[in-house]
Amino acid sequence: MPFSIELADVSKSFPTPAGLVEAVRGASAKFAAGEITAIRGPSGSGKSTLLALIAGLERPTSGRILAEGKEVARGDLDPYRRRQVGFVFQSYNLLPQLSSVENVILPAELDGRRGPAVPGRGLALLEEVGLDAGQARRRPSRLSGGEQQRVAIARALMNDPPLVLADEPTGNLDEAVGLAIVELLCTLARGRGKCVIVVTHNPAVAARCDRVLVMHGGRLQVA
Amino acid sequence: MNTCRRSARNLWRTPGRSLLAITLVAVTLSAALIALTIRAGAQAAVDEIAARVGNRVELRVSLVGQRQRLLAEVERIRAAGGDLSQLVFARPQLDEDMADRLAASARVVRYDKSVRLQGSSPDVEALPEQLAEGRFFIGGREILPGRQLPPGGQAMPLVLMSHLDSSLALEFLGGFRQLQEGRHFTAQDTANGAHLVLIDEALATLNQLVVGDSFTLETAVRSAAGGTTMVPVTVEVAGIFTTTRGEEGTYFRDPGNALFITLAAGRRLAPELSLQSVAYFLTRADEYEAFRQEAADLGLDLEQFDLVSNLQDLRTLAGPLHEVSSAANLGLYVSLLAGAVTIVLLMSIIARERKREMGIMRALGGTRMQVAGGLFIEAVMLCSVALVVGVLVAVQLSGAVADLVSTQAQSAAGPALPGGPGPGTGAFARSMGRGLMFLPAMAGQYRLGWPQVANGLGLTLLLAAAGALMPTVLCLRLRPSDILRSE
Repeated sequence: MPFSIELADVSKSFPTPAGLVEAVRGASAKFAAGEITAIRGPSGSGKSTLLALIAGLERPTSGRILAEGKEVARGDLDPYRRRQVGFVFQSYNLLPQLSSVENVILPAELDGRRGPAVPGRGLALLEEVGLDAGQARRRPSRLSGGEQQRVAIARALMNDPPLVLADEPTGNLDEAVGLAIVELLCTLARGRGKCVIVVTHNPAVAARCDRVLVMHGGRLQVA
Repeated sequence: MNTCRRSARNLWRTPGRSLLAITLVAVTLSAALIALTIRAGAQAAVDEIAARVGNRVELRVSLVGQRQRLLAEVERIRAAGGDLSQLVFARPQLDEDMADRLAASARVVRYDKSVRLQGSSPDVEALPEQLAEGRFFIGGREILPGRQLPPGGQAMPLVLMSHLDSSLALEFLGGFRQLQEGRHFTAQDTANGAHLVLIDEALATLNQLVVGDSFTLETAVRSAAGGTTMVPVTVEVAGIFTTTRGEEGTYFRDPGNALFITLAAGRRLAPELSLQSVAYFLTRADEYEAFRQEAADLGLDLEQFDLVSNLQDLRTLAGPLHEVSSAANLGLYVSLLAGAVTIVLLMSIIARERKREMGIMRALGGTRMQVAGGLFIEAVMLCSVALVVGVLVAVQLSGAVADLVSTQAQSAAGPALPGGPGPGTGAFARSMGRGLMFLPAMAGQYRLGWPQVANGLGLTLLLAAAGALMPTVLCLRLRPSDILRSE
């Protein structure tokens, strides 16, 4: 059965000094394997919160998130994040003390995998995202923004998760590099049959996706 | 890349801070190790004293108690208008069977019983003239006393002490006498009926005796008909001992004019004498009261006897050492507190700096334990390096510090006594009959050993755990989605 993730009337609210803020209101959608979906919307519209809910970084206040028909928020979210989700952040979020390849294989180590095959796969993924062995040994501080985001994409694919989430992956990159990164992400995800959800402001990025959803005032709508 | 390597690399990211932390923790750990060493040394000295003094409980016929009971009985007869010539007062006897039954107690590890043949005893007065005058014979030749009596000294040049186990005699235990050659006799020798003797070195030299030689002691024993019979007992020299002699004139008789003989031989020489004392060695010094109860339960009328315990002696002797131990404990706790504060502060700073990295690891699926565990390993590494440095420093310093403490403690214990084993023995000398028994001085092995290093390792883990506390709390409060909010 191909992977799919489904949101059923998902809401998320946060208590603030000013009162309860409802960041996501009754979001419902289905995302299928091999499909790349963009979520657009203005700042504060709840895009990142929705992505955090799908990624298992937050639990919904109400509603259900189903991955392969099983409700995500019911169980321990750590294994879900390790095995089902690959996350690409806007500011890369690489660990500065580790080399590129060590960053890539970190999800595998957190999942308890050891042995020579692990770094081998890390190097292979880095090669796929266009980084050579020399760059693989470098620390993030010695790589450009685009190279760091490539490392982050390789890291997101390390545990071969069925779901890849990207939160403004081109936000810190110039236009050309950003588009190249999105192109790379789409190519790799499509080739592996991943379900990809990209949160972006950039219309050019959204144009490369199969489907575009819009968040406005916490509500999710088809563009 | 495993967690350990990642943690090591994390520490190396800020080498200056890590080195400072290692230095501070090493100082506190070395102080803690020195404190542990001194405490262990003091404890070893206490143990040594406990072993020498022993948890010895002696049961002996109470002369004071007898006198009091006699006076009470006289008073009672007088008050009743009775005739004092009717007074019948039986000297209490130590029931040997009962004493042996008490020795079977689980609290008793070893025991000794003794008969002392000396001129001052009323029973010895019944011995023949030569014994009362202190005359003994070796193979028909009169034995020569070691030294002439000092003017005014008592006419008792030779004392025979008959024991079950000579090594348990208070004089040997206290170091007043020390075996130089041969061996002690034991309860087994008496069980075998062996007639063995330990003799003072000077006395042996004077009488040309060596270990293995035999000589005859001859005494008179009362017969049933009322007369006396001369009983010769041939004894074999099992060992030769030295006796601590003070300066000339500090004693009434030569303390070396003494023989220790097996109980079997003693019984042959003086069959009329009952046991004068029984000494029990308990498994623990603080079992004295329970032992008393056990003796009472067996039917021993303790009012008839003096029951002397070494417990108070032990407490007195170990007092200065306990003070040293307490001071070491204080040093240990202060050191640990300083080390814990240092490591907690450092790890708190590190945890706050790494909040974002912890969030990334949580977002990638790392569990709270994995994230906090990484910081715990960092704390362990830091403390382990500090421990190695601390051990090296402690090895260099512990001897000097311990010597200082030991000297101070010995000074507090008092000056040396003539003939004593060294300085600080003033508080450790105890009168025993007409001699002085020297108890151990403040000797102690104050050197860092493996047990202290092992304890140091435990303390290191304790400090590391304290250091990991704040990161763990932070990690528990950290929400993985915070990583997105910090974008």
